[in-house]
Amino acid sequence: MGVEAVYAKNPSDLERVDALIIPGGEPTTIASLVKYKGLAPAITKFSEDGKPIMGTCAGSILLAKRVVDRVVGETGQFTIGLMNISVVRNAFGRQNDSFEAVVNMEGIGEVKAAFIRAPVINEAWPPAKITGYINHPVAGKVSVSAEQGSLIALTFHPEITGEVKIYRYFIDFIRK
Amino acid sequence: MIRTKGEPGTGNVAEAVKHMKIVSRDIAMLHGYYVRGDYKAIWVYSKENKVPYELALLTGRLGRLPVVNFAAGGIATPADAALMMWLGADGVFVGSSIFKSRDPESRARAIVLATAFHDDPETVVEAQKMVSEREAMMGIDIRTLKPEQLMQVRGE
Repeated sequence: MGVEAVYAKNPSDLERVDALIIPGGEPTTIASLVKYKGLAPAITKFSEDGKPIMGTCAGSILLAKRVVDRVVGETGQFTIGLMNISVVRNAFGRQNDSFEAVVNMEGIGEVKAAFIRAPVINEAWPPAKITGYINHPVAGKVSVSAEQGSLIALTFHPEITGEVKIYRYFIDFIRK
Repeated sequence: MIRTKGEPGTGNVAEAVKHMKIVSRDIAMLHGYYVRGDYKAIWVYSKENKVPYELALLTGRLGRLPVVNFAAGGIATPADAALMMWLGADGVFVGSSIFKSRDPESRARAIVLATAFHDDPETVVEAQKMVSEREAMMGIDIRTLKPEQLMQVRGE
């Protein structure tokens, strides 16, 4: 795709990259490592410098201002909190309730997405806006992607389905 | 995903290391066959090890397992976890070493840190300092286990 991907695990790594993807995983685990390495202020500064950040699955939780859990409610967990969105953890249920679906994303079109114990976005307030929905047999119509300036939150994994459209769209942010 | 199993409950990482090395060695061998175009050797390997030829071929082509591999069994310290990552594991499973230690919370945190930063020796040292040897689980000496007590040979 014409870009080089490197791991960014320390604040100093951010000085060498043009854009950042915060990947999926377990958000409280990622948060504990973010805190330990002092990455939150570095990522905030990175964003203030206008550099694009995309959070996928757990990464979208790290970007959200507010997090609730479908079962336990307010989690009070640490996030970097750059985006004006509220996210519901484990919105579709447990691991067994994971699935693949096609998301119609604003500005991108149809993308194949894997939802693995995925969250959903239950609220977005300006300047953040919802950019993608799915219709789920149990959860109904739910928001699964949002944008705010050069920040993108996806509640799914785009990397598992081999979907490249989202990455092209994200890389274009660097050039803007 | 798969799991490379050492000897669980022992706090001794030596068996996990041994198994990880065997897996890495065979992957390197298959990759070598693939690069040289020696499909016959891949076929012979698949017959000898009773694995589908297609899987052996795919592993050779990728130069790694087609699924993630978690190392387990005897990983008791942050340094153990980093070592397994260094040997090529994609992650680690840690059970009794955390839950039977006297410092489960800080040990879990330290092992997560050492796993994520396995390629950063200074952070691994910091992680190792977060735990005390004296708080570690009391492991079982593998030499005292009877053959029928060994977990790693189950299913063979």
